[in-house]
Amino acid sequence: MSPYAEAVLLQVGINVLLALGYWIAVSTGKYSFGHAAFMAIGAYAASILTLNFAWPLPVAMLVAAVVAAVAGAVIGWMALRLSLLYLAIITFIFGQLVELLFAQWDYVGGATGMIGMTGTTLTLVYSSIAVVVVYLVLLTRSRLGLAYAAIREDERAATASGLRITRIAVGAFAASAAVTGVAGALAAHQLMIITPSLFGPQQALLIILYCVLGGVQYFWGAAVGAIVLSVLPIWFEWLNDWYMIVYGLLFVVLMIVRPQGLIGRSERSGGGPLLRRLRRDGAVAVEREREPVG
Amino acid sequence: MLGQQLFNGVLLGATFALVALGFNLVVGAMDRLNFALGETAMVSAVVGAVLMETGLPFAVAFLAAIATGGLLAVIVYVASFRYVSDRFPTASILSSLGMGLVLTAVVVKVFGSDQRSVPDVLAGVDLDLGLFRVSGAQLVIIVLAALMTVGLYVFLDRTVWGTAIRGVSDDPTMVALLGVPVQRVILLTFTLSGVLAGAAGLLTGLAYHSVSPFDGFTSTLTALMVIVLGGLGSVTGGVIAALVIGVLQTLTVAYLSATLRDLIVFVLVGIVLLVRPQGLFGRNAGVLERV
Amino acid sequence: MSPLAELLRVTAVTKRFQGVEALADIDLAVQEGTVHGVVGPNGAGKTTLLNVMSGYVRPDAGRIELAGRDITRLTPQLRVPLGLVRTFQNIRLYGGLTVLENVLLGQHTRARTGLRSLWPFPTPQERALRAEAEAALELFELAPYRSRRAAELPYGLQKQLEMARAMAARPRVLLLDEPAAGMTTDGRHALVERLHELRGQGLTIVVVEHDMDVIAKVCDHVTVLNFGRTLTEGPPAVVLAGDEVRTAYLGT
Repeated sequence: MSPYAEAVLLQVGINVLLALGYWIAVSTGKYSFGHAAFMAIGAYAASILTLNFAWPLPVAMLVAAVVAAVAGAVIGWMALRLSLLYLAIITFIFGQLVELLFAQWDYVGGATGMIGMTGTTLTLVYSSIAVVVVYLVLLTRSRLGLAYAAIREDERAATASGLRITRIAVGAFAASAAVTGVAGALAAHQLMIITPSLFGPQQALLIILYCVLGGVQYFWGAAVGAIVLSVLPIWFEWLNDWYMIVYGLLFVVLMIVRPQGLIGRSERSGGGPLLRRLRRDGAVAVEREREPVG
Repeated sequence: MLGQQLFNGVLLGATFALVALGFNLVVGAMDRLNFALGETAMVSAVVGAVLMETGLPFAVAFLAAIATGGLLAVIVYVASFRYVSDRFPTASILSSLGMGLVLTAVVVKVFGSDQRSVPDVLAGVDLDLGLFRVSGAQLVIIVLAALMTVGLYVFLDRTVWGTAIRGVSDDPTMVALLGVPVQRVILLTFTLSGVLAGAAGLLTGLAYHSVSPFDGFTSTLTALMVIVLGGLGSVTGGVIAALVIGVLQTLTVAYLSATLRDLIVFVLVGIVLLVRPQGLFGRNAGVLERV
Repeated sequence: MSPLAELLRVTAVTKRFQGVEALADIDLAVQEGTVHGVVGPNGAGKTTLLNVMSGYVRPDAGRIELAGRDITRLTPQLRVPLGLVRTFQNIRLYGGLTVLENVLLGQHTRARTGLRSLWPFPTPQERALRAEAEAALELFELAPYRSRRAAELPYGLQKQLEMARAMAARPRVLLLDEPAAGMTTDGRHALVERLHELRGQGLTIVVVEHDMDVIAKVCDHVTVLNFGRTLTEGPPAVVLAGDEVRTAYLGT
């Protein structure tokens, strides 16, 4: 296999991991706006271990997963108790915080970053994907996966069924962070150089786009989205210069036309935007009168 | 010395307040976040800076900046909020994040990724008020920021359209049933938020004498921290929190170290989220208890 | 006949919303194995009372006790494993999930739902729960629709599903929020029969309802609320014939 083809497959594989990882959180209906932070945490954790302590990459990856999972659990617990708006705010702030911290931490090279990590192989990447896929298959067939779907569908009904929402959502978030951390570790050892700016809002948006383009309903939809978006810049070379603009606009169009992603069931929506808004707000107004949580 | 630092902090806080108010207006109107607001401020600042470099007076540049801000906010409204289904609350927020990145990328393409300097204003002015001194630029900033904040208060409180905005924020169904043109009010709200952001952008650029295409994220970040501290949707809370953060940042840089500046605010925000998530004056609707 | 135990007790519950007293010093005792109705005109506080009982609203004063245990501070999801289950007036089903999945979710507190549930081979406990779910579908006439999305069901069947899901949690006390709302006459008959059946099996039920007919046919005891206060209470025959109810509803 040519080194070029290998590089492409590695990149695609890492992006698929990112998409699958993000999907775990999205399957509970929770959208994080700073997921690149977990990628950074995994990348730096693994790089420290391989560069400074000569640990083998697979072990470093496991540690990266654990560290990212802990971070995910902490942030998740803080944010998932609150509304979706607060989730967006808190995860965004966290994303910026992590970028800032790494840029100011001399031990990891500050703004210059770390250099010289190697070791990502196709085997490593694709066996990681295989593990995650097995996990997701088992998850979607289990009662835990059913609980995730319930929380996504209707949280109030879920509480009425006895689901402990924060606990479940935080677990999903931590798992999501772990997978993203592993992807970060693999990316670091493939790129051979990492800087804090690699893990900023653009990367966060990319992760979301990989997942959401493919489709929120099935995890393999997210994988498809990642594959398509990874391959696109290769087929359309002119895209490279403009790719942030194109992807940003793609996002905008997607959110209008098919916010649930391309693959999967389409939601029926009736009436124009105002009518929908009135209906929704009518329901919200009624909820507010009847069931404000004290 | 302390007096000067406090004044500088208040000045900074005033600029933060404008952006935070912009965010809060949109939260009130649609229960959504416009993640492109920071970039809106940045583009307006760039426009203002470019005009000033060609020799135009500051007043013209300022008006251009707020006009740009208002216009961009409307564009973002149409692209990210107007036609996005309500069934996916996060979709608008995500879309506006995308728009923000598009704006940044466009500015980088057109103007390059370097910082632009913002020429000074009223350079000759230097007031000595005993406890602190006020330079010409600082005078302009504080006066304009104060005028806009007070103007917003008055507008929301006393005028018909302002009341309509408050009504939509409170109970959109009721207000629609009373005949208020909700969509138009929302449009107005976005325009106002853009105007505030545009002003904030140029004034911040004036304060730091430079503007960078990547300022958008910083502005958004600061505004969000202000909102967490002050309470989602609260105008008063936003102003107070903005001043607190402005003063805190300035004092930290002056008396501790520059690197701690952002960290201290992060820690404060973290504490607030743990202890009193709805902030100082937050509406309850933003905070739900779950187990 | 031995005296019935008090299963659910509401003591001196008060709730204010922005200055308005939705509930003022409400006392209510529900005996085990009985059907207790709560009636009153709109705005009387029935729904708020139900929300307080089920944990969606925290009272400003007062206590809720389940089998002697103070549950006032418990969140709704923690009341479910204790046996307190509710339905919603505007049905809250998991619209995008299938009928079977909805019922399975009702069993959540009785099943293994953590990471261990990922084990691909069903345990005997899980098999039993699944069998139970299938039986519930049969009982509530939902079996032909087991793979349909809940949102696609006609209203009457959605109501059935809501009840089936609630029962899947094996409640000791079932709180029903206007179960007869929007039902046809046939549906109402079926509801009354269903409630009789459930009571016969020993279930304790609290019904918030507008439909006096259903209340009369099903309840052992009725509490009438008006303006957040208890107007009167007693056996339905007595209460519904009395003047208080007429005054409350018609204002004369």
